[in-house]
Amino acid sequence: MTSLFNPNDVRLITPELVLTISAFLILGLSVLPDLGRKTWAPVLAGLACVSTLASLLSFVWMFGLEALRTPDMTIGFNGMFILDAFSIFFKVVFLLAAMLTILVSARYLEVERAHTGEYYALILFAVVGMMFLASAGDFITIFVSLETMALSFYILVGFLKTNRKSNEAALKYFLLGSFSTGIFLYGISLVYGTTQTTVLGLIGISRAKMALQSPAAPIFVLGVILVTVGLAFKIAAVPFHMWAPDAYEGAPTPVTAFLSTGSKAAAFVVLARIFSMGFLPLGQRWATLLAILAVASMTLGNVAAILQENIKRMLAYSSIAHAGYVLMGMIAVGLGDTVETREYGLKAVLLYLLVYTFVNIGAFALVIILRREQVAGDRVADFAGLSRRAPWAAFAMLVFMLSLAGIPATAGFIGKWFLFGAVVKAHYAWLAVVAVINSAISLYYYARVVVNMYMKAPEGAARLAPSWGQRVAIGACIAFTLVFGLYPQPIIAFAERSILALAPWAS
Amino acid sequence: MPVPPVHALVFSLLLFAVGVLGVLTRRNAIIILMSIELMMNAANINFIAFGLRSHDLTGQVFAVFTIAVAAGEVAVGLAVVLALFRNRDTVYVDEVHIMKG
Repeated sequence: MTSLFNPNDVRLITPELVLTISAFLILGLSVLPDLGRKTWAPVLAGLACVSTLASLLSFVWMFGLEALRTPDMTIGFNGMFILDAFSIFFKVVFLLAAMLTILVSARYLEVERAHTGEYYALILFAVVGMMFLASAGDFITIFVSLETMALSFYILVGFLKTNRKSNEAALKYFLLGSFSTGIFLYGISLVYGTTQTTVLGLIGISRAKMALQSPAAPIFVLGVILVTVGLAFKIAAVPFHMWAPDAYEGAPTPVTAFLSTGSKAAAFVVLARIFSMGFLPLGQRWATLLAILAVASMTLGNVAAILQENIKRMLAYSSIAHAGYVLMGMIAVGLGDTVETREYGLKAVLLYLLVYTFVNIGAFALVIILRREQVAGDRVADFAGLSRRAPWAAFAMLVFMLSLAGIPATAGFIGKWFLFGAVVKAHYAWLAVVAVINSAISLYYYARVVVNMYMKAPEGAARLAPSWGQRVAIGACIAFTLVFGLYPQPIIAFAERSILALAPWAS
Repeated sequence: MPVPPVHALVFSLLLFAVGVLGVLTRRNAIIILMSIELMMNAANINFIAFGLRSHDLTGQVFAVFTIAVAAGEVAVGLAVVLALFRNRDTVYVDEVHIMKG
């Protein structure tokens, strides 16, 4: 009999505690009369992220990545919290995404007249939710942290209270988001009923098989399907994507950037964790389900993106298509006949989400700097002649568009290479063919932005005035995309060491 | 005599179906919010009934967490609807359509 609470476990959640306390601090300070809030709030939020990252890396230094790969000594709270290499990888991704978002936010919010401390507190709360999500080993932790993240995002999407588009986006995102939560929760309750546990590790080892052979098998399968549908809403996979274009278009652009990277990666963490720890014995079945979602997402996402005039909406459909690509890695996890294939699929998912975070936040950062007084700057046409008005900005956007399309010598190519390889290894080559055709389609709308920038005359002569934070963020994203596009070994090794240790019963 | 789990399951399935139908057919954002609450409460009934059957407290603990989270969700949801109502004078979701495509 283990005790209910072991005080030693608290050290495992130090990074999250640091972040939570900082978020409350920012929230508390922001109700005080304005003491130069515009400068300290982002600085404090950035410092909080940096110190959280430091305390996270101190774990790696203390235990070593190898020990974290097989996480016996780092499971806390009776299996509810798992601090393994897999979770650390994603926590690093979330923190980097949050830092980039904070860097690009300040100037944008000043233009929108919505620069307050609460914004940064909410960003940090969302990151806390994501970080707990990455470590969750139990459906209770998963549910509560998923909601922590989602509730913060509902508010962030509607943060521009007087902007009608922002109101509308928040309403749609909230209604469909909580609808999906209801479905997800009902799925969990059915899985709990048939397996009698909410601990993922316990479900996977024997109870999933037992539940499948019992008379209650249809209820268990229904539970798995409902859980899949709930998560498909969160990653915006077709046909559960309806909220994404509206939410992305109406939300403040930095929030859109964070939503499309951080929240998507967080949903994929849960997907990977639940399916490869809890439901692995059902691999064949859920892989078929995910394959349908993947094909639909890639095809519809890319075709609909062609028709868009608004660049935020275009990137929203592109992000739906990218969710389809990432699902391919999960399909390899479910279908692979050897542990190597399964781990290859997982590695591809990790790698792609890391790369996508930098590339997509970079692309949205360019949309953010086009937003000026009286100029919304979110149409594709607003990019016309950017190469003459701001050559460096045009070059940055060129790099990000090429990387999203998956052109070699950019990081996006490396990510796609592994994903396509994963499904080929899992003998699902037809899916790779579909994905390649889709990448060719996607080239059309990414190239349209480039053509607008380089081959059309500028509409106005207004100069861009990015803040230093925005310059740093865009510079970091370009550096990441190009450096790791040409020399990808470090990030491949990082992903390789961070994959979940799939148990031997996996094969 | 305790209620058999099958009865509880059938009841919760019906409740869940009413919730889903409400979300899909109603136009008033507040009523959609109430339907979502029905869906979550259907799950709560499952948690408690299944927990009782297998003499496991996890189900009840989960239900308590769900209730707390649902309360938070209502708070955020009403705030979102209120912000919309101030700007647009409507809570009907089919009247909210600036963005299309």
